[in-house]
Amino acid sequence: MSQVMDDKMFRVVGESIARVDAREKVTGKLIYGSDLSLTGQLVGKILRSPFPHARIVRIDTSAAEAVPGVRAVITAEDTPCLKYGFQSAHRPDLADKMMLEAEKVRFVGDEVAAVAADTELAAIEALQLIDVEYEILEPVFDPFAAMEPGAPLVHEDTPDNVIDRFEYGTGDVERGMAAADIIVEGSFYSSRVHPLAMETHQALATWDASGRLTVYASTQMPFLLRLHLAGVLGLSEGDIRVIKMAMGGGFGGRMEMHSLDPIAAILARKSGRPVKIVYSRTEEFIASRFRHPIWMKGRLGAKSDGTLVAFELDMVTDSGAYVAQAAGVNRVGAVNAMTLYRIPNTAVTSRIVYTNNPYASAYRGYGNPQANFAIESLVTELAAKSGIDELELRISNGNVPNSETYLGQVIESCGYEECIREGAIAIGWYEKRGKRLINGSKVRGLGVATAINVGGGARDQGDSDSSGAIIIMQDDGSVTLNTGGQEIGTGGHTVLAQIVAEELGVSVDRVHIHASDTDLMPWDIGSHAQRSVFCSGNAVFEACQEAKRVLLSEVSRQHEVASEDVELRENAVFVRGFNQPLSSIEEIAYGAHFRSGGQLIWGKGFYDPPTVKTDDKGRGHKSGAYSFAAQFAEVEVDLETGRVEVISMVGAHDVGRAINPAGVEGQIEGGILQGIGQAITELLVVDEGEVLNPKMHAYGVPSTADSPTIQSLIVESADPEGPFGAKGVGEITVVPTCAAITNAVFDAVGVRISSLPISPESVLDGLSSDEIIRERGG
Amino acid sequence: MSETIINAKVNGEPIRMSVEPNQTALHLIRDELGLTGAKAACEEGRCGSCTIILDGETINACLVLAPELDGRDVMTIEGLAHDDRLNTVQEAFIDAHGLQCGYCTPGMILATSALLAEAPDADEHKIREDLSGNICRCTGYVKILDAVLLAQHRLSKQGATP
Repeated sequence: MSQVMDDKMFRVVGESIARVDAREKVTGKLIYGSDLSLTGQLVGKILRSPFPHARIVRIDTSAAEAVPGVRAVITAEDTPCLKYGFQSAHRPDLADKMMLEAEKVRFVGDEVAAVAADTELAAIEALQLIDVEYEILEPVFDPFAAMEPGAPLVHEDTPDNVIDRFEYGTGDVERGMAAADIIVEGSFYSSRVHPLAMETHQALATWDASGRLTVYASTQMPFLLRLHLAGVLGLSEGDIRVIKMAMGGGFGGRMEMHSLDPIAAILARKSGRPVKIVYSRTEEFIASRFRHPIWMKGRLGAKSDGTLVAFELDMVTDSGAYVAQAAGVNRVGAVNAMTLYRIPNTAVTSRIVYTNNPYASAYRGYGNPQANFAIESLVTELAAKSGIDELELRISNGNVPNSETYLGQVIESCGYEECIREGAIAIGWYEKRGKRLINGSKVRGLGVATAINVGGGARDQGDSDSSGAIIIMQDDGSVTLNTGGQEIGTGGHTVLAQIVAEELGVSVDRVHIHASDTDLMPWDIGSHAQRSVFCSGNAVFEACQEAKRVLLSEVSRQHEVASEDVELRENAVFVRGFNQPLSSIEEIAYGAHFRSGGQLIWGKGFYDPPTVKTDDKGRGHKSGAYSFAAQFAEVEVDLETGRVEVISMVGAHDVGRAINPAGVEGQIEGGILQGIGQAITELLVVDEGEVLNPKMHAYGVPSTADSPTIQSLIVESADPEGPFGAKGVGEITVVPTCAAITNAVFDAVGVRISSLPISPESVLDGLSSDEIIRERGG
Repeated sequence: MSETIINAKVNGEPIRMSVEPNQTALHLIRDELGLTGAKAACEEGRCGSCTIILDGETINACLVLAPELDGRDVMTIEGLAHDDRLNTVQEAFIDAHGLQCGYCTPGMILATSALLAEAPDADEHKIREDLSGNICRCTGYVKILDAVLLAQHRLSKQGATP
């Protein structure tokens, strides 16, 4: 699907219009999943394992059932005992989790039983009275120890605790390294950080009299939730209706079914009442998903002129107790690291390891932030070692428009160079680089890191990357858009409304979007992989074309004017060249079917990008388009305390076209602060399998008092496949942030921080190393 | 558990309710009064999503027990707009794009309203300090600060307080 890219002025596309749901949000009227109540609903609560590894010997629920107000108590026996896993459609071995465990618990927080009661108090009391006898098993917390022979087995059917391994490669990395004039290498660690959406997870389930289940869920992927619920409940998809609620943040944490979804369903069935489960914030930290901690070893080889010739990366990922989306995460990280630059010889080896830690899964960036941290650190090291300017090094090796990567991704639009050049100017790169001493004890430095990411979906989830849309014009000329494209807080629906307004000439406030009911909306795989504007937007555009054809035929019929002479704008119909409208759009719409031989002004669209799934070597044009970015950081390092402060950041992002520039900027700014959080203040502290800081005040989420100036720059490269040339931006904004910051620390004090978060101790250790002292003339 | 009767004013309207001693003001407002603009996002007084205005002061409703509301004046986000007319701060948040998912927005708007009422000439440093009790995960705070500055500017032009 391509639209001609020229300098044609758009009426609505390209405008920073207010969010279509802004009024509901500033008045507190928007109903989120956690705000919804149904008559007669019960409070559901989950009993979680206090041990990281134990056999369940016996569960006695009798005392719990006797608590007044308790309507249902369930254990695994009340469920079909089916295992689920997000990527199990094409990898059955990745289905390793039961909604309630029957034999073993594998992490502190694993689900064991659940209750539904009239009141929260009764539910809590009942939980405390469920008597579980555990046989403690020896746990393993370190993924390297877990891979050793004789280590405790987290899952008995995975004898070495390595649930997934792969090797990707291009060319011949040994020969490449042998031919390199300069080689740099390093070990890197990327930490556990939590998406920390402001709304915690919740599910509300209810059955109707015919045995059909409805689940009200704040989910990014309602159709996949329906599929996975069907699987784990032993139902057919048609037996389930998912109604997707507005959510207080997604960030990938709401991509997959969590145990609470089918648990709520089983509790509702057993009690005969609607059941709502809402996670406390503590429970959210303990029992929902977060970014995978990954240990990486990387090597990068180049010729003396800076041409990159070889890149190797080894990834060891602590998946935690279950695999969830780890297999996808490492693959995405690998592919992005291999294709950020045009390197002919690459090799990535990956192992995903079970431990008895809480388990990780999707979070914005999905493996790319971690792998990017390794390669972008190495590139800056290489530049320093070779004496080549690190901006020029990146540009000369970077991707260019109308090219193909060594892994077969077809790059059409590419604003990589522009991102680097414009970002450099904005941060003051040439003026401010080098170690700049400020008042004797603080030093400032600048760093850069760049990124590639899928920009138009990714055929990663069961082979589907498609989106459907239906446009219906109402009698008053307003338009209903029925789409599977999801609004998860990013402004996706505002963009879709702008597309409809642009194409049909109606004002944005007369576009009403419905995207919440799997019974009604056309298929859309959901919001992930930067696909909402691109894939859902293309489907909406196509539906508009069909509706427009019908609309224009109706105009011709009512007014005997040729379609090609008609313009649609301002909720009216104009003959081209005339200032007075021929008709209001309302008259056209009304007249279309209030007559015999009537027709309905409507249209449908379905968009499936011309892509393939990544093969087992990492190859394949997997996305409709690719996004590029360069981020620059200015940091200040305190030589006495080792503390690093981010003073300002610039994010330059190639989005093809910004359909809503304020929306794009918001994604850049929010993503960058999440990256700053991972670099400096945030950490999910896990020790002996326990989350030690499951409290918002102890987690380190940035506030206004500790967030720096963030400047967002939009680069427009006009993608031929994207709607109006647009590509996605939602994830890439958090990808290069940490490397930009550690590269800035390197510029400031010559210390290479290769482990996140940046600790003052590691900075001080680096400062006291002989090499640094010599360099500073001490 | 013994219940207490409280009499209070909520968004200008008198209420009389029976409350539990361990019930927070937040849950009273959300679950019994149906005013769901205040959110239970952390329930430990860190994030400010439950911000309400109690006798003119912004407080975290998750840290106040329902019986303490007796005889007091409560304003929630729902009480800010009058007859469909949004107040200046609400308008500014829309116009400056100071929101994304919207979950922190009610609390952020109330905190901003209180800040600009108390310190109409607050500089960026004071604004950042005063809003540090309201956590947002989506915006990076950039456009929230834009919205606060826009509201401040418009209020000074009007010679008004929010």
